Amino acid sequence: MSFETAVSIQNVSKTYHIYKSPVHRLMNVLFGAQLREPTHIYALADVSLDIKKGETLAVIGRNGSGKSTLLQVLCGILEPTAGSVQIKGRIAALLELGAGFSMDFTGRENIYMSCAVYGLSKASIDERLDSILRFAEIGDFIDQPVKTYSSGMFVRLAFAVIAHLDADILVIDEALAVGDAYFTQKCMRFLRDFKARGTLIFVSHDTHSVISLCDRALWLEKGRMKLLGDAKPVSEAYISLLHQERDADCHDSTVESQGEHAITAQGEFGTGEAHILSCRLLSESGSELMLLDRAQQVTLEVKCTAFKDIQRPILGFFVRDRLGQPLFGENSLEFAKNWAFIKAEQTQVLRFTFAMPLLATGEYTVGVALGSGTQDTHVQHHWIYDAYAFKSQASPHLTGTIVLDDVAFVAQVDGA
Amino acid sequence: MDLKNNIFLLKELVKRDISGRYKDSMMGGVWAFVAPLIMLAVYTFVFSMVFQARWGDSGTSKTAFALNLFIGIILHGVLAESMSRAPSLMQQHASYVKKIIFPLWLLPMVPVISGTFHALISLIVLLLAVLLFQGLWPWQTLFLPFVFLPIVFFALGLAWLIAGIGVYFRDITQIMPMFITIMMFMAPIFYPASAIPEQYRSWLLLNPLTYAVEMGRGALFLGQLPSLSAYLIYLTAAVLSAAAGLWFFSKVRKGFADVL
Repeated sequence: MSFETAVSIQNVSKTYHIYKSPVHRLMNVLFGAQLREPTHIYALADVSLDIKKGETLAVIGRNGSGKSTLLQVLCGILEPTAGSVQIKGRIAALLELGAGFSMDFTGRENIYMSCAVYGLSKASIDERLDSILRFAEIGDFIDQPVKTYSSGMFVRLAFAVIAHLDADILVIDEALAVGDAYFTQKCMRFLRDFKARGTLIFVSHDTHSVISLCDRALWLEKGRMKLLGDAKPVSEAYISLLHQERDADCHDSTVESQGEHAITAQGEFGTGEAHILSCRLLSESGSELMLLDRAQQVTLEVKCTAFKDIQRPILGFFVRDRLGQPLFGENSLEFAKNWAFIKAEQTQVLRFTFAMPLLATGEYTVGVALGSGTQDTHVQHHWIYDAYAFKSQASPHLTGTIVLDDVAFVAQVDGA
Repeated sequence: MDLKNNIFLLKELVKRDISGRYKDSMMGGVWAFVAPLIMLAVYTFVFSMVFQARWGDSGTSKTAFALNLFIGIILHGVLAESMSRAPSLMQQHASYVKKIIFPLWLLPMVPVISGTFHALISLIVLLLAVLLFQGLWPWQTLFLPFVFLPIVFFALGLAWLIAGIGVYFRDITQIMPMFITIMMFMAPIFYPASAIPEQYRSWLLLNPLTYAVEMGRGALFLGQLPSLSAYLIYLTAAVLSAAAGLWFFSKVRKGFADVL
């Protein structure tokens, strides 16, 4: 890493003026004159930082905190209201999935167009085409109009183009989130290589990739710089704040969940042909599990009712950590071959029993879903993202997510 | 603003614009030739057969009116296409404005270039008609490309100006068709410049079309060339208006993403 500055942001503010008439706005842009004092909304307020060549910066913060605005200002798409941005080198950006693609044109035509936008000539695009196609792994679809593409294919194509522009500065806004795990890994590998020669500015909600990829992180809160520093402490501070707020939210609903008919529901969907009435996780002793402090046999008890006859019902559950990462889950297909239907107006009590490992200290949620059909084709009747919440308390020296149970250890001299 | 690096992009944009127009039609690009041919036939029928109009006071042939009219319409067409499409250009490409790093100043050039392309096809049709009705062209016909050159610059200037205003002031979409029609009648397109009463003639010179149409007629029908100094003044005015349009566009461009 050299000490040359690649991006210099000086006291940048972005204010949105609410004008009475667009003509006033035109006059303002043209002459800098304020015809009538507009109403202000701050999207960015006094942001200053220097990003060195070869450095990787993550921008984190809640929705509406100004992350995307900052990236747009960096790219020159938005003009800052005050302050200045200086860029040294060629900048390329991936701000929104599929932006800049023409839907009626094929993937190949869009590659040419997207590269041309960055000033590449036909000859130099021809040269890169094979490598772009290999990176994108779109296969024969490359000659189909991009409107037929899945979101995964979109992001692969867009990323492949960005990766071949020889940019000095890359700006990426959460685009990796839609790719599959394999492609995300591939992008990560590319970005790691890219760090050796270029500057990366990266907006992500995935704190894991922020910590593993970025040197520094900038935390924006309501357009202001809340914290700027090494990626790890900044992301941790950010997460712990989110966590505290969620705790405060959760507190009310956990109280409700004591009652049998209440569901700690935040996001749900389904046909509504059957309803999950309640969901409880019971400890070994049969009481509701609020705090998990050792591995034990637990029972997930779900009470449901159907409004129509449900053929071949399936009950599934998953346990997620506080970041929403699924840890494990199961469904009833394997275990309930003789569970053929729920009759209309019937209420059934369903119980999963399994060995719950001790989990890293923190908060966990259980999601449940009631559907019908087969593993491959099924409909969801009622799907609840956070149906039950509990906490786990593990010894502080735990590294990882799950505490192993029944561990034995023997030390022996080899050959003895 | 670096045209050299963006020349491939501009070519692609123009290619898409032109091919997009004929994409779903059965006859495709043939329309580019057929449309001006039909228009010329209609002008000839209406003005020469029905109105029995004579061009000017010289005893010209029956078809002369339609041919004199057509060259005016072709030149007007370059401006008309640029001006009618410019107001909504940025809205149509909102994702280029807001979501990617795009050299936006190229966009208003696209209707100008594809308008010029169609004008040149119409010009070929006109040249063939002149050959058919009036015999070989005078050698001054070679000057015609220089008649188009300043019009292209004027069209660029107007396209940048109107595209820039159009983002902030949508009403311009309503105003433009009227303005284009006024421009057509306030230029010597349906009549020779000599038919304008003396006291109004200099006013019509404010219309950038006036001088170009007169030059084109002179070269193609009368074998006349303009004086070099007059031409250079006209060309300079055209280049300056293009530069002013581009300056205006790059100035107001900074607010595009805020408005769209």
